[in-house]
Amino acid sequence: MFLKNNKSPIFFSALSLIVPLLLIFTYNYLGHTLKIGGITLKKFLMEEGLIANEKKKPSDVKKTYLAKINEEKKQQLKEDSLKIVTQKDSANFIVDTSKFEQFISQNSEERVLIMGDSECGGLCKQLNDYCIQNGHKLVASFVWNSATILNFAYADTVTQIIKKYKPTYIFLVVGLNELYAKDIAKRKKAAMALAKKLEGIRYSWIGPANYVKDYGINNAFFTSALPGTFFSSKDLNLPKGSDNRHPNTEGYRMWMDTIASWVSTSAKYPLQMNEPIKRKQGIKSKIISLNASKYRGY
Amino acid sequence: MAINFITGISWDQLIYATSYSLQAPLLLSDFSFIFLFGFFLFGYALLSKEIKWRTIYVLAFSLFFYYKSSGPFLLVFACLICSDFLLAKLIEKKEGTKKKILLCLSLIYSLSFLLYFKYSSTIIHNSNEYLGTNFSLNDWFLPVGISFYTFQSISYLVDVYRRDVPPVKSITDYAFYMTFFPHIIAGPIIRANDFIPQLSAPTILNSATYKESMMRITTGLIKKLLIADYLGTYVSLINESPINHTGLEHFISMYAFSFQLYFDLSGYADIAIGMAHLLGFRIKENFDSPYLARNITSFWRKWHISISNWFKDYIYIPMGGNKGKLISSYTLLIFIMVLGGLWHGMEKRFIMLGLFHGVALVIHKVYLKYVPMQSKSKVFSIIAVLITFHFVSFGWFFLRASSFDYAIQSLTILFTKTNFMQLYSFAMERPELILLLLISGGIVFMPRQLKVYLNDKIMKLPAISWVFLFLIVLQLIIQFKDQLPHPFIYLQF
Repeated sequence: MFLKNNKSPIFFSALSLIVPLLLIFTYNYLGHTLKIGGITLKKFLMEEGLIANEKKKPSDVKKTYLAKINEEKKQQLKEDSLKIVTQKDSANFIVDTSKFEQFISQNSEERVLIMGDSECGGLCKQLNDYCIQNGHKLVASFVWNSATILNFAYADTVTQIIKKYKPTYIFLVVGLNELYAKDIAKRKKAAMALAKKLEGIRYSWIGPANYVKDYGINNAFFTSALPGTFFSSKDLNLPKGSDNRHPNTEGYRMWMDTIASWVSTSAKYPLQMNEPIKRKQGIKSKIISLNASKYRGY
Repeated sequence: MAINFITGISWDQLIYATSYSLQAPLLLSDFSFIFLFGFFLFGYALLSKEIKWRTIYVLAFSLFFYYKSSGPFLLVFACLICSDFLLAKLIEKKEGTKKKILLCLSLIYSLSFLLYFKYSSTIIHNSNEYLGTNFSLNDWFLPVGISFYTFQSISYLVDVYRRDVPPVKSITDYAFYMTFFPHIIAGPIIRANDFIPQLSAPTILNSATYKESMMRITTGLIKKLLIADYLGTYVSLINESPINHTGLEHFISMYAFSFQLYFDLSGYADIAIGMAHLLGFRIKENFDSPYLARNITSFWRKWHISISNWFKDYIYIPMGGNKGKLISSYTLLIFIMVLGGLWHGMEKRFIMLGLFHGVALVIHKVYLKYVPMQSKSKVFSIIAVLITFHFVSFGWFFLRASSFDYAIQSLTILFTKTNFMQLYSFAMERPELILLLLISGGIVFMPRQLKVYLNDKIMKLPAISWVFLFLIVLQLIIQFKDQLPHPFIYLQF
């Protein structure tokens, strides 16, 4: 037909690729969704960078609240943990120390769930020791390796895990895999969607222990979580593991000590977290492991 | 609104679109890339008759594509291209020992990039771990496609040395050959004598080529994004903690990974071949229904053909091949397979993978020596295909596991704790996965005649229908992309 006597079949090839994609991209921008035979046509998440990040002016950044760590509590911690706590005090994220309402639970024993990326895999063992010491029950650890906020926000996995384990307190550790992300606006949107999923549950959101400078992901999470729920770990000086990307076992212990100090005294949702007498106790609850990374050949 | 898509592009967005990301390299299967490729074709149509400008245009696009994936590492690639070009010219002019020395130096130089980027991190890590050294290893990054372009560089230098190909006259032509974007990230490895002559040939695209190209791109996307990625989520789930899963789950994940690997690699190759065809270039097939192989020797002739041939032509045969004594040729075969394993990375599991296949190849050769006449019955063929497929699938455990211990753990559970009575309840819990595995099996084991028949039928569709088919496939990919398998299915087993 068209191609038989066509002088420029390459033009036709170009159109064959562009027109369907243009329709897909355009549909992405439509205000409503289409249905065919009762099935909703999903929209393409512009993850590949066609929609760039919207850079926020400094004045646009919403000020929120991050609690300072209680000085008395620091005395209970080991010296090495104290060192990092001191560094923490200079963190950029303590932008406003205005009061926010603390919600102290009536329960002394909580059903604790920890979820997050690979760093959660290291923290969960430390958290387990804290839970045993303080009479909480670590109901499950959900380690989603290589996952980003997009996975946590848009897959229904988090909802299903919450439904299954019915936690009364959640620790969320995410962000290591998107330190270089520049599409901050999109990730902030996802962070807000995730914060919405956690509504009604007491939670603390732990920022990634990054060894490299991030492009604003910490700030995006910080401004998405409820005031007093975000713990910024970005300036902590934790010993590195062999991969130079994650903390080593000692690093995880120091990190958890710092988190525990903050969460037990100064977080919006405080949780009793006295330092465990016995460490490295085995986890008896489920560790759910997923991997979000794509196979990319060699 | 739709109009925002066109008008709402800001300066920041343009900068973002042209910047690189080491974490998420641009792939041929990315929708944004296909969109860009579509626009690139408009320019190509205008320049396709002017061979010189066509070459420069494609080269510029290829360099941009590589920059998007590897950023500053483009300079490493450029260095290799320039040095290869000059060294090949020198090699051609020299004779005797000087020529040999020059070739050796060129090969060492080419390989140094690959060895440095691919294995330094492992060496430093092991040295820090076992020797107590404290070498730093900050933000290590492996430039995308470095294996493929190093192999290609070696093949070119050796071919020039052997006088199989004359050195390329123009650096633009050589850079075009090396950087040609469809194959740069994941192969296939193209040989200079296959590809360089095409550079001076006029672009010919007719209705049949158009349909064939669209079919390759579309099937490639289905294989890669629809099938392989979906199966991959299940494989990762099992792979993350083998001990928490039953034998049956390991069994199913074994099939899932075998299909995932094939669809992933061959899907990407399909897209590469399809895009090259649209530009008027032919790239050789990289897979020839490998899981239909009746023995392991035949499997390696059908699997990742360009890599297998490269190992054969540039290592196996120069080292003696099957010309020497039987025992030395068998040892060499095992050595080559271990080397192929080590190419994946310097780990115990990859050595094991190489040994596994090397020993199997030797056993098959010994078998052929004693039973030279093979049965041609259909039943024998089916059994032979199934045995080969399962053997290869068991071997993939060493590829897919994150460590040697995990691979052994998975295999132990598979062989000692598999209860096929759980299959029904598994199928009830994961009907989509089972359905996809059956479809994958259907495609992989489809008889060649049926494949040709279906191919002919599809090729008879009018050209315009490919626009609609492409749209449907894109939407299907979007529909299924976010659906993850239920994360804690294994609790019940």
